[in-house]
Amino acid sequence: MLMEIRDLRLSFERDGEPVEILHGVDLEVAAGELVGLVGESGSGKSTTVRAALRLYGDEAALDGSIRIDGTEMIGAGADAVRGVRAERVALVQQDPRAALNPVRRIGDSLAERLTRVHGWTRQRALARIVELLGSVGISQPEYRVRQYPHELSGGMLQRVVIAAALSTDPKLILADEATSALDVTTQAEVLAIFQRQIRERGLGMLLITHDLHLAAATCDRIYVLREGEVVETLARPGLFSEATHPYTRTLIETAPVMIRRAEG
Amino acid sequence: MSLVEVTELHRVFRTARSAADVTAVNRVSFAIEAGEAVGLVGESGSGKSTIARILMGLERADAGTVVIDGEDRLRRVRGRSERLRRARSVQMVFQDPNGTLDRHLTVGETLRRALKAHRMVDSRAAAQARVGELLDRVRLTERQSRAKPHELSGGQRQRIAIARALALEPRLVVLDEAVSALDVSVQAQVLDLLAEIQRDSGVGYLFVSHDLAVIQQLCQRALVLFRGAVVEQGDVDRVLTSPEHAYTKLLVASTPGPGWDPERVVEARMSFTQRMTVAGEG
Repeated sequence: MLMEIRDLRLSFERDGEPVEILHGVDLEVAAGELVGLVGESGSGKSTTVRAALRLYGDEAALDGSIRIDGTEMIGAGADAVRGVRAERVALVQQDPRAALNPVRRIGDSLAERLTRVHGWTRQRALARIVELLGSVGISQPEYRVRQYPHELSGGMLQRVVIAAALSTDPKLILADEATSALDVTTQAEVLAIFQRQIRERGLGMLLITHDLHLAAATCDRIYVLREGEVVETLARPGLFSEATHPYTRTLIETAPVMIRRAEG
Repeated sequence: MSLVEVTELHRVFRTARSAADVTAVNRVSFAIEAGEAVGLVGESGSGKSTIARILMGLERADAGTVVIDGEDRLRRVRGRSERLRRARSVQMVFQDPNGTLDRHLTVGETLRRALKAHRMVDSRAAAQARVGELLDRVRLTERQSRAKPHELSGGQRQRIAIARALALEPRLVVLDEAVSALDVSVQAQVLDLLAEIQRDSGVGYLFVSHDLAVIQQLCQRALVLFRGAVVEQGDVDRVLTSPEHAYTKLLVASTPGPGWDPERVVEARMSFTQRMTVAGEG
């Protein structure tokens, strides 16, 4: 199992009292799997992901178990945590502009991680970046590496961020609302890229989204999160038809659906 | 005569010397009847918001006409009273209510001030009664009217923005991605509320959204925009279930649902883009 979260509890201290935010979350992602984590705002989706990468400091108390590619993250030392983040997991978030330095060329931003963390030469790093930009559908990648973020559209930049995520050859990608700000056709393109990477590289991926229909259309399995608790796990082939929890049913029934003709 | 008549509306944005000018709105014509909800669909940069802003008077047009309730909206008006009268007839609800609500004012005060600025009421008691009506209309309680925006949820704040728009008894409400930032359960409530208000008051809506499912639920007609031009318009179910234009087909295919395959959307987009290049449109 690439990622295995068991009974994850997280609490913050407020006015000297611990307030529990996650109440025993269980989820897993295997290699080659696209798994959805779905819930409304405030349900704890992003908190789960941030906790899994140990992005909270001492302000958050963690309990339970988070194993990423065999490494237990809870209680792990700074070096072990850094190792997992540098080599085994990549995080793609909603706003690509926040992930890139606005005053550096795209190539320099992306190569920095390879040269500084992984000790590659600049030349080798840039060659790899150009190759990856091409593989995520960016035209003229040799030219793009010399451009600045403001010269590219949101959809193009999200591809740049995905290329950056793939640059260190991670086994697991955590995509936190990575397509939510994109137009529908661009969203489809980004998901096609994700699916191809999963298929070709055997990656595992956790797709964190508020869009139940998007998750249903793409994921092998969906965890429905509500107020810090997984209330239901939906699996293929049934997915929606097997949903029994009232909250999941409400989500399915209230989300507007495009009514299409039978021919699709 | 229709409530809204837009004819050959055109707007070009001049850009820096090095870049080409952008035709944001390209000879767009459409009408909205009283009590009708018309959806404006398209991707970012298709000109949806520019059209909405021109109708509101927030953006000027280079050419074309906009007639709302019999009045030429592109003509400049003189004087405060004429400006206020014009503002009353068309109101707008934005995606982010935080940008339009004064965080220092309670909800009740926000509504009272809108009523007062437009002389909609002539006494304190009348204002109070009207505020009560508006709160009922959007299902907020008396207690919530004493709250400030930050004490309320996103859905509640959006309902205040709707209440304030309705306070002035507009003929047309322009809603620009007004439910896009809301969670689905809250979104459903706000959509139901909008449909109910439309039924009861006969107000017209121009509903700008990238979400086809939402448009299908609320609107009677839809306009599909591509690079500033209307490529298709008609009855909402006809446009979305049996689209005729290649771009509408692409948009419909892009919306996730059962049997959705992103690879096929990518192929559809490529063939569409090639066709556009060959046709030399844009």
